[in-house]
Amino acid sequence: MVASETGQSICLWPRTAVELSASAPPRVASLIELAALVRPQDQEDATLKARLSTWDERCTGWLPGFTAQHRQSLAEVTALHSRRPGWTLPHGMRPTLPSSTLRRANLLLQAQPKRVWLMGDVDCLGVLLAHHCDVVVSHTDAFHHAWIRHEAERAGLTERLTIVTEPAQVQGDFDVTVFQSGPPAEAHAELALALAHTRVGGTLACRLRLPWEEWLIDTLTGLGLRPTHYEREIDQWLVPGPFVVDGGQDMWLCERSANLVLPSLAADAADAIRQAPYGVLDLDNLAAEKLSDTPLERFAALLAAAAPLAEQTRSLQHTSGHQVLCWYDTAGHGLTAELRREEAHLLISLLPFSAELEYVALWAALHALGDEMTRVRPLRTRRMSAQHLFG
Amino acid sequence: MTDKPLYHLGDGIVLGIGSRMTELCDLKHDQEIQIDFRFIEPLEKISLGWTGEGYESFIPRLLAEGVLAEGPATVDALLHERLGALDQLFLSSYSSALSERAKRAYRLTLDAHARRKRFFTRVGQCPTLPETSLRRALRVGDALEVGKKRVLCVGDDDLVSIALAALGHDVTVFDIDDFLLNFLRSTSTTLGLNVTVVEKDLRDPLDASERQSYDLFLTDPMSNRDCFEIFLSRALALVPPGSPGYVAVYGPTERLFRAVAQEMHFPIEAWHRRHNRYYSQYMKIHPYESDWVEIRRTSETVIKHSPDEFCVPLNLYAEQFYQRPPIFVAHYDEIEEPKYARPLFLDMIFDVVEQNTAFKFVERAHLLGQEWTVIHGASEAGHLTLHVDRERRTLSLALFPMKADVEDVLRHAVMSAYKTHAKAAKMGTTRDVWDLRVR
Repeated sequence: MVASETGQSICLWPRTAVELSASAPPRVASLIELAALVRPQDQEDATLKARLSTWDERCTGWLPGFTAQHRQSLAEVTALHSRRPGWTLPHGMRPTLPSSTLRRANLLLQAQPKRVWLMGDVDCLGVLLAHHCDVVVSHTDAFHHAWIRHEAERAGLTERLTIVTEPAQVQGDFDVTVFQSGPPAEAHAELALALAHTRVGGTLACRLRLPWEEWLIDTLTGLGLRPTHYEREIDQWLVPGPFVVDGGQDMWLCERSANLVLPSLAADAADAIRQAPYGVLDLDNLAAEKLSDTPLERFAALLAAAAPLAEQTRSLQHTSGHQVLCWYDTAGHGLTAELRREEAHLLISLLPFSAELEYVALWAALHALGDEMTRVRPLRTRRMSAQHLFG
Repeated sequence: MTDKPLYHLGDGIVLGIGSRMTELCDLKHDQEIQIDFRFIEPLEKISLGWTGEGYESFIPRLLAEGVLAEGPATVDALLHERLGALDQLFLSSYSSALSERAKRAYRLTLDAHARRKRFFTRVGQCPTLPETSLRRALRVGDALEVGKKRVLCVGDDDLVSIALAALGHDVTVFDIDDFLLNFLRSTSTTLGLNVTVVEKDLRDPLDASERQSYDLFLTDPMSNRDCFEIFLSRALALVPPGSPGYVAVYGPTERLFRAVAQEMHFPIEAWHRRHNRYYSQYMKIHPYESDWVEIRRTSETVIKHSPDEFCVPLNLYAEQFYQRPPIFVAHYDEIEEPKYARPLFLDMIFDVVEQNTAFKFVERAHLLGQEWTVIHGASEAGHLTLHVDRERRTLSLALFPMKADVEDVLRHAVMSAYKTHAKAAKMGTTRDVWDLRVR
């Protein structure tokens, strides 16, 4: 998000652009129209900065002493994030709260690394780490490359931070390598790269999220890798607005041992669906004043504007007690959303699961139907190694 | 003291008293035994450590089966290990920042939780993890740093009183549950802590001598209007103006809580999202979690229910938010004859549902792509969406709400048409989702 020439904030999706402001509803515009305005900024977005600080206070209050202990660092990360130029999702990654980014940085630095490889960075984590070690960032997009490079220049850290567009460009061994769970083909590729480039005795840092925890946990444990440290829900996801989604992503730290052989992946075209055939989202405590006219139409309009692929078809049905929207894109990814006004509740089922569409649906639902008191029922991993946590 | 031998529930055995059934859970062997209500009272006594008086003839068999163990009540090693492991999920994020006194308070709190062998879910009891109890106490602070406070716990199945007492405060617990009061009395004594317990029904008027006699309060009511009003009316009357209070609020009821705060004129000073994590009698994480809200009584605060009067709440044991029924999702892999998984044929599955169940569609919609089809229909009860990817040979469906008869009809229809030779099936259920996968 950035202060544009019109003084408004801009949210940029891969396919199109959505203009946000505090006072008006989101406006969909063409990429060409707005892309020219979006560039790395030296100026902070004061509104965004204030809201990030408020969210951080609310969401890190459970951690004894965290805010007091890290006040200065947190202010610096918040300032950095308030210069965020937009919200794109390379490789399904999601922006997180400043406190989450700081917690990740602190955790990775505990290993006192000299070289760190981040497979993906949409939070300028690389810049924080580059104050202490050499950092390589990959698996990101041009949008974030520009931001990270700009912030590294501001901090005088360009020599310590390298951005690569292709993983094949990465050379040498690292003390810490960060990768994340995703569809098996992607996760397998990232894990293979991590194993190839992390020195024996170094740290494999894995970011785990629902619904892709199963395959990766089984693979890691199959390799004999056990977490030496575990941070549950270290990533608190942000949705443009910004809104916070409860739950998020965990981080496992494992020691890279010698003689690890990653089995090849026996996956077919249906494997991504097989691993994550559906996703379910619950939004409670919707804003009553936004439910009075045509809320699902507004939700569908935002979805159509911001979804990764164009809308193919939709259906809106009404019963005496609820409304149901069924929406699909050209590739057959879509969702069903059932709104119950009396209960101020929205149920969204993604069939099949798509991380990108999930994120867009959260954004669209929170903007069309919610406010800061609307809660997304926590998206939490269900396992820790072989142990099922809930019951 | 008695000369008779004492008994307690064996390691890994806990008593769960729910609204629909009472059971003895054998956590070591992952078994549950339903219990007749006549045995609740003696089992509760055993949970506290008991002589076995009146039930002597059962004792040899219960000892032989490991349900009972000889000796006074003690820390259950299995509960200690499992709760400790659950705590680590969160504790590892901040344990390095804890003082030695805080670490000791945690150890005592974990010990106390691992001694508690009875869970009374019927009245909404759902304890916080020991590490959460510690964090609640740390919000009040260490008496060495903030001064010794007279702290009131309005209800305490979370055993926060143990952590508070270990941090040096004078702690009083009001609770209606005499088992819990006995447990807290004996446990705090065993652990060398000073906790005062008082049997109190919050619906009763408050004694004049009690009012404004505490420095602060903590409470974890059910998140509904009646509970907020009665718990806060009593708690706020027990502290003088200017005093803080800490209240657990279920996230989706934030709007309701803020409305109550406005009506009762108490400021909200801080809101800690998802502060409180809970566990179940099965020593697993409970899906429920809540926020921790700091409020303050001021001179303008209005006590909704006068401390002089009885109050008669209608709803004490239910959260005031939409309890969504489960959604049923199914995924059929490697379907047969995908060329027939097209609208004309898929429509027949909807026909079968309508003909054989009360699930009638308001209308049906067909959403079509080159290699995929979605059929969707809303009914007065909910909706059904069916998705087919012919290229990848997958069929998925979502039925809301989950209805056993509809699910049964659907499963038969889908499998007889598209999956006559399944290799494996797996069903997983949570309170929110029933998940069927067929390969």
